[in-house]
Amino acid sequence: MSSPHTHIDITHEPDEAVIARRLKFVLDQSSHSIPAATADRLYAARQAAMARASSSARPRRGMGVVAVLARGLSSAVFRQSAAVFLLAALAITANDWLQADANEELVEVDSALLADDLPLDAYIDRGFGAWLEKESQ
Amino acid sequence: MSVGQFLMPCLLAWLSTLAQAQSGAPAWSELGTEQRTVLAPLAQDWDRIEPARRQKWLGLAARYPDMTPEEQVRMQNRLHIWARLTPEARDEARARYRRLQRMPETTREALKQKWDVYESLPEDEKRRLSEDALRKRVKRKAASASTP
Repeated sequence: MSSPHTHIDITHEPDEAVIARRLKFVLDQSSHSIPAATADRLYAARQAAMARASSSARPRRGMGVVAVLARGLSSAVFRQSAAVFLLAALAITANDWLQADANEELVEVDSALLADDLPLDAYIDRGFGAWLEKESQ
Repeated sequence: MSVGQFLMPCLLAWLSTLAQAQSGAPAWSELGTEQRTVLAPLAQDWDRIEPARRQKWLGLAARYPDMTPEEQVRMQNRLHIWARLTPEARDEARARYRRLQRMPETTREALKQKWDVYESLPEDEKRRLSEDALRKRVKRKAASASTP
């Protein structure tokens, strides 16, 4: 380790590429002197890390649908469709409420008319209304 | 809050409202005893009546207990006739009822006698009055349709 390349002179503040090259050289030199047992442990640790990395990069089974849904929920097309759907739902609901109000008014008139002491025919017969108008003139 | 989180409760609430609206039009076999008694004149036609109209009849049945015995009898006697009128005839009758309700109290009290007088008119005259009224109605409708 007496090579001049093993010494890093930081007083000259060399750029990062130079430092990296020097570090690589030192590590390459040192790797030849690593004990066999240490090298084996390092190899096993590297394999394990690579296996973990590849398994986390692959989507797990069952998560695919959720991922697709999550992407779909945040897409612009979905947001626009949701807004249109919501407006349509509000319009239909408002219409139902108005219809219910109109129905309530009809029920009120119908029940009063059907229970009225004037015969039903008096309301059904067109001629009676016309005759009343004529009489009142 | 994402759009999905906001939309889902709205969707569920809406579907629930729709479901309630649908379940609010029961079949004859699903009616209560009192409802069946009141609506008995409609028993044969009930399941063919559209849901919105069934709701109206149920509304009438709900008001029935608050009526006097005379009113209850009158209503039951008229239910069948009323159900068989066309929607236009029912609308006309409602319009006449509203018009007569706007008359002064004394005039309305006299209506029963006036009806008796009208009933005693010759059939030809009643028919002519009815045809005149129909012509006027058609003219009014045409005029209101041509008005922008």
